[in-house]
Amino acid sequence: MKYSPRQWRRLRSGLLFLVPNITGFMLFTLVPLVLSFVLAFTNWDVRRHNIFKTEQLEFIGFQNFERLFSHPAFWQYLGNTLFLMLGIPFAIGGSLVAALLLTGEGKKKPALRIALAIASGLLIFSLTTLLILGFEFSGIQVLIGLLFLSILTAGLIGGTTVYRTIFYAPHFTAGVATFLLWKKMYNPQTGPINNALSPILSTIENAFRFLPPASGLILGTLAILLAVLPLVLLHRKIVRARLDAEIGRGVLFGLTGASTIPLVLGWRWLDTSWQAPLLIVPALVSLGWVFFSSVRHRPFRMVPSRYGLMPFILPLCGAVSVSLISIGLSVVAIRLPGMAESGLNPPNWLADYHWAKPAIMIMAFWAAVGSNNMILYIAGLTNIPRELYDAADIDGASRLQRFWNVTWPQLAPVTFFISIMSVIHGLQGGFEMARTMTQGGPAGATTTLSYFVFIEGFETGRLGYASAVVWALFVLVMTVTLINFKFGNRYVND
Amino acid sequence: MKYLLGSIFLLLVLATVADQLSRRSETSDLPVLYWVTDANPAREAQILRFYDWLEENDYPRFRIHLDNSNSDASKKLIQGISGVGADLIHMARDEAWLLQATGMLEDLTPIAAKHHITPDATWPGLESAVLIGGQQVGFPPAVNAQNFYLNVDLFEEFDQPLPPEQWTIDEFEAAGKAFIAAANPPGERQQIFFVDTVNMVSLRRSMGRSMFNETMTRCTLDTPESVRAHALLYKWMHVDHIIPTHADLDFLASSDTVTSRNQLFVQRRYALLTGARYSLVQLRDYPDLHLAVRAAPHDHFPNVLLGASSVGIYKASKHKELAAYFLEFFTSEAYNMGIIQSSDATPPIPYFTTTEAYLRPPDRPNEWNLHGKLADLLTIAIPLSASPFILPTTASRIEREFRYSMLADVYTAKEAMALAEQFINRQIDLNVEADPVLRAHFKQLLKDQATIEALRAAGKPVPLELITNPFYRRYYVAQGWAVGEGGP
Repeated sequence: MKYSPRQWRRLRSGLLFLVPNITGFMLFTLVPLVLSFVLAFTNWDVRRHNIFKTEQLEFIGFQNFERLFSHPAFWQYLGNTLFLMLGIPFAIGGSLVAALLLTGEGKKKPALRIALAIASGLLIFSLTTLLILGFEFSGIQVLIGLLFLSILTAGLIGGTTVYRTIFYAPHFTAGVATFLLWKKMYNPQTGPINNALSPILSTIENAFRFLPPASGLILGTLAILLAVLPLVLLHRKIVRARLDAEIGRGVLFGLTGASTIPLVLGWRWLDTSWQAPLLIVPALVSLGWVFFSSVRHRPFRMVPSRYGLMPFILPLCGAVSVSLISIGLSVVAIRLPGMAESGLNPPNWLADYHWAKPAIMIMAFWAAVGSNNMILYIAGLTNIPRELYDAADIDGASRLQRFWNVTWPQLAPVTFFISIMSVIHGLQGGFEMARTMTQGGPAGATTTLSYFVFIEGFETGRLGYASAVVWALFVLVMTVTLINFKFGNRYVND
Repeated sequence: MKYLLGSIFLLLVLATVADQLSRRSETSDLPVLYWVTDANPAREAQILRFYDWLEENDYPRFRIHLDNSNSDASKKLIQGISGVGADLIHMARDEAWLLQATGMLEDLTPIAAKHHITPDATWPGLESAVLIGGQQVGFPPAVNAQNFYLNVDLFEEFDQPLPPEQWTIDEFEAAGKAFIAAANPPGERQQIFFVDTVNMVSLRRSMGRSMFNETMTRCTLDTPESVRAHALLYKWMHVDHIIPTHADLDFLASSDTVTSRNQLFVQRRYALLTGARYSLVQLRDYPDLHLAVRAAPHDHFPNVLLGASSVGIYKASKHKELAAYFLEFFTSEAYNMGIIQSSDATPPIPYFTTTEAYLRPPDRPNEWNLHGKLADLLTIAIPLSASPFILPTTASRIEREFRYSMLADVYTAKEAMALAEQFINRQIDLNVEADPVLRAHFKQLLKDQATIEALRAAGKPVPLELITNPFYRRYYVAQGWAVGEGGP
């Protein structure tokens, strides 16, 4: 291809503009990346291999990896990382809800304004009434009240643009600053979260004093039955897909196998002789029905779903999550009368071994709702052709049907991209939070793999081993991403 | 666009020039040495005193530039092994081992005598803190023996007798239970505790056991003594409530820092505060506080933990000779009197603790009962047992992690200590396996350990030179189990 002098000049200018970026990328990303890969197979220990020592670096093959996989702490920290990632579906859902609210899809603007005006008026009225009645506000309560009022007023004046900015604020606020803020919010005594929880817990405490002693058992039993329901619904969906020849036996076994997670955990968590069977027996009957139906049915030709496995993975995640939450609620409900008798206290969020991880997850959820995910969803929503909604309206679709049959399928590529990025960030993340808020504690409960890399690299000085951890993490990220690519739905249903 | 980018480039060039011009006013014709250290307000005064001292002694003149922003251990490590470390490196107790292991610290042995900074110039027992791997890696600018401060008025207010100078574990527990019963109204959330924390190293040592064996080749946390010490900690926190739990701490203050613990002591939330002489820096802001000093409770072997930071010289420094003068300054009267006045620590040179200025500071008569006792505690103080086969930071982190697991009811004391021992020994094995020099040393010490155990089993005395653990060196002598010369 022959370039004219003008084209040469343009090419030269373009390359000149790219040089700083490419140089920076080569020096600070590519070279360290390659080096870290090589180092993962060496015994580099800064205590023995540095400019002050003459000992030669040795290639030790896969020894670092062998040691890593036999290290019990690695599995604990991997477990912590994966546990924290359980919040990802909720974070994606939160971003989507935020985006839907901020695009005002299906809402009339005057209606929004009226709602905001009513909310502002109610807030002012409530605060004034409380003041007249002699209610004493603490500084933090006044601050929160004023904050809400400002947000509502700003919404009245500026509309959704203001809310978009407010929702996006967590993303451009420095991470450490927000972590410190959340640390203050989680303070068991002075933090606003526990201040808000205390009266609620007191009310529950008082309520249980007036309820019959068996109320906890009744609520617990209902919660267990509620835990079985989503699993049965999921099984029904799987059987239907099998009968429609959309899934093969491998996928069927995979999905049903994954749906037994609540049963295994429920067996561990439910500690009375009747609770576990109440959960497990109906679930096993449902599983038996799945296998009986699917073994009998041998489809002549498979017709896989055009959406990949996403239509099954999402319900699976949803069913497992709802089931686990119900089991948890059941455990709480059964123990609640006893706990209420001795007084209900809000949790000691960051210092309690069992609460530290959920506390971090809640904070991560807050940060994720107003993140780039929300911006991507807003962009995705504005790109959906209006004609599709018009067609749905003509067909008499309800709001839920419009969302499920138009919005959700049209957002498939965005959801696919967000899922992949969230999983990557989830596997790599947690370092800043652990370092700032908990130092990886209590008892290693919030030590993630990225924090483990820091400990191994800069506390013990084993940089070769730390590099091996990093590359093990890379393989994990790559595997999950490939699975996402293979089975995820990234195409819009035109 | 190109005009915009060109303008940004021009602005950056101008900013660089302006920065360089502003720095010119800070430069000096004299050599400038960088001292990476903590953000202690006393440092500026120490440097000014140092300049006067150089002039008085007619030593070569140079400048010290404080670097507080790189005092984090990982920054010292990375900068050091990258060849851009500070000339003078202030090292916390645990950091010296890591930095020495990298070879980035100058061996001071050849110049120590010339500058009067040999280990015998400072407190006995500090040899193991400044002599690592047979090399002198630094000199302590400050020494501290851990102690309890008592709020005497609080004891009087709740009609409780003051604890004895030395007290047993049972006496400590009984006093603690009686105190919190008297100080906290029944039926209300506990607001006042007996003590902020207890030092597990001292407690375990008082029972005759260390984290490592005599030659520091194996971790020995899974022992009845260590398990008992941890079970006691659990009991004092969760059953007797004489020590606050994390939840209690969060209830009382926003964080568990030294400053917040001192503040809580001043606010009368604790009867006893774990600290050292440096605690007085903050406690002096409350002249009405009526204080007394006590040692940690003990089983059959009274002891306290000896803590000392040290300042070393960076091996790649261009001014190593000059840096040695700065270490010599720590032995001077000017420096030690400065430490006495600021109460930053106990002076590194023992002689100065016998002076009137130390024992009875004229402007602080309320402290006259404290300083002598703080110096006395140094006679039973033993430094941390740091095995050459595992970094102290790693060993402490593992033990702490399992201790917190026990306090969070994840493991029992026995399980936690067994796991901690297993994890620490695994790290030792990995380090020994990776380093041929360490391996040879380890094998020799294993033989010594076998000899020690055989002699003990036979009821015969053990030659002191076989024991490398500073605690056991002192303990064996105290029990009459050792023969031979040697300090702790």
